[in-house]
Amino acid sequence: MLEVRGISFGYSAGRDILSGVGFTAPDGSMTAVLGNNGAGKSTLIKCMDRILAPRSGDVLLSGRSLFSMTRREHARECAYVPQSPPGGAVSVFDAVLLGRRPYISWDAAAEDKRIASEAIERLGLAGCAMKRVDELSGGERQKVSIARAIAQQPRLLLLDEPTSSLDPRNQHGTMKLLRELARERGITCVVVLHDLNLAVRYCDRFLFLRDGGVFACGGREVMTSENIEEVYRMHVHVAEYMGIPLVVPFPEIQM
Amino acid sequence: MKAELRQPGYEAGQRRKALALLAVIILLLLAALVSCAVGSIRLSPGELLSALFGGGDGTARRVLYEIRLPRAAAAILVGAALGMSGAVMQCVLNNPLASASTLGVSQGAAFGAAVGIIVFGGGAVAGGDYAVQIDKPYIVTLCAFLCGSASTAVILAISRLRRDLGPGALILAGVALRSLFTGGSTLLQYFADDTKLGAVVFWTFGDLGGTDWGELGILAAVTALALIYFLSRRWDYNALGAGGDTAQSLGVNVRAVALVSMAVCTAASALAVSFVGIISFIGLVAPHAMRRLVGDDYRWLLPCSAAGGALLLILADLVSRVLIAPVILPVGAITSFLGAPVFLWLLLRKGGRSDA
Repeated sequence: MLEVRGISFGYSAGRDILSGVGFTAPDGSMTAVLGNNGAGKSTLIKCMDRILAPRSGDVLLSGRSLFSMTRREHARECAYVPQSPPGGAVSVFDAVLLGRRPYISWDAAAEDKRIASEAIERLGLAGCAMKRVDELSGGERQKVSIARAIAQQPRLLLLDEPTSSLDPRNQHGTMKLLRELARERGITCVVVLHDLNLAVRYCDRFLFLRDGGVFACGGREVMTSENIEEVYRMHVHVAEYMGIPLVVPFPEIQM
Repeated sequence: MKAELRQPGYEAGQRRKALALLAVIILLLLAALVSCAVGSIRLSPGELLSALFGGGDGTARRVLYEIRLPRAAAAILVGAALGMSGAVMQCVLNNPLASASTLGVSQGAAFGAAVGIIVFGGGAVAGGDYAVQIDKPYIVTLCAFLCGSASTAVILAISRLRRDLGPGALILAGVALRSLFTGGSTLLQYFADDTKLGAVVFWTFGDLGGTDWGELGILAAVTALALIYFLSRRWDYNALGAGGDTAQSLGVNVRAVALVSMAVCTAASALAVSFVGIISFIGLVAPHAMRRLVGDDYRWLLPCSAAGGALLLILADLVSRVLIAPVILPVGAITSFLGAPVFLWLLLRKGGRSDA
């Protein structure tokens, strides 16, 4: 069980970007973090991963506070996939092996290499394990990022717009893969998304942020046209086509 | 789940990188031997080897142990210190153009050392030859470190406060710091007496000939400690290579690692500068040459940059001695001729852009 309690964040004297954000998510669930630009979505998951230091609040995983752990312990529980995929003149294998850093004291053990290879195989990257990361396509690089996070063997996986630089095929491929990983390994995923259709199709929990606070949070029942219209200030229809939930926007209709 | 999950290419790749490192080290040893043999008294390979192991005639032994070997050792230690510091600075500042000399750390250290020598009387000029004898290495080194740190502090503050600045801006800050400290050194020289003036001017060109075994011992200790620290942080540098946020989420205390690493880089390069003067561009050229060889993997890049920096400096020193022998040209000038084109090439190739 993931429990986020009252996270507030602001840069020095300015207004708070997040104020008292809290929500819960069961193990192995996939939560979409939704909201307009500037609503604080990326800031929220960066605070949860201690990349940014929140003013107050806590993140509990099975009742244990992530914020009171050492950095190393924290990195074993919680992994983060940034918005921009990695580059650099390192092999895919080395980039994924980096996910073992929270477990390595002086050098990578055989076990670390085994876990890295397993993550690479799981993500379907085995064919290019020895290629340089900067020679890969955007979709493959995104997978390298996810493989590295999986190699961390986290219980909580935070992703910042993992589909933003991908083509439609890779967007669906990535989301499907995340859902599978969440289910088969019991990893709790929290995903910042802009694409409401990806969210409604692949996620089972939805967190709407507005003006730095929680507007609504829950399962499929909160994905209503009323909530979406309130948060995005745009007319939408929530429909279903061949059993697939869809959010159809109508931006031409004035609110 | 399959029992055996292997990456057959991986171990081969690691072996190739180990071979690259070994090749650089062998080249370095060969260059060091050549450097010990060449000079106004030319030693044949046989004479060199017998003198090295305590045989041969007395002149050859004296030339070797009092002049050639200290010179080669100074080149190796200073080159290694500058090379690995350059690689680490490029990593923690996420800036391919970073190095002790391009950021003004060397010039700051040189100013500090000049203050130590001229104001605190940390050194004296030995007779007719323009060699600065450093009598109080601790004072000179401390001054060099403090002033070098001033440059580092400014660079770190700028890179923290304005994350949106490109790599070029940081180098411009380095230009400003360099001018400031060069100006300070000029003023000091203006008020120094004639003998000190000549010596200090010569010394700012970079000179590998003035170090004795005692100084080399200090240099070796600090360089070795710095290398051990850097190697212990190699996974953190690799994590930083994947981006600051990613490194943080992998459990790296990014701020602390950057701060301590920059302090260690400053200490190693300030010490090098205080003993041999400003030697530019080794910290820029060596890591970039090695990146082509072993990539951005700091497990290999750090030792390779140290060995590569040593190799470059010993070759530059060799060139400075044989180009118009018996005149020995300032080695700092030679490395600048080598480094400036590389610097420009880096600017043109990537437009000074660094990958996140």
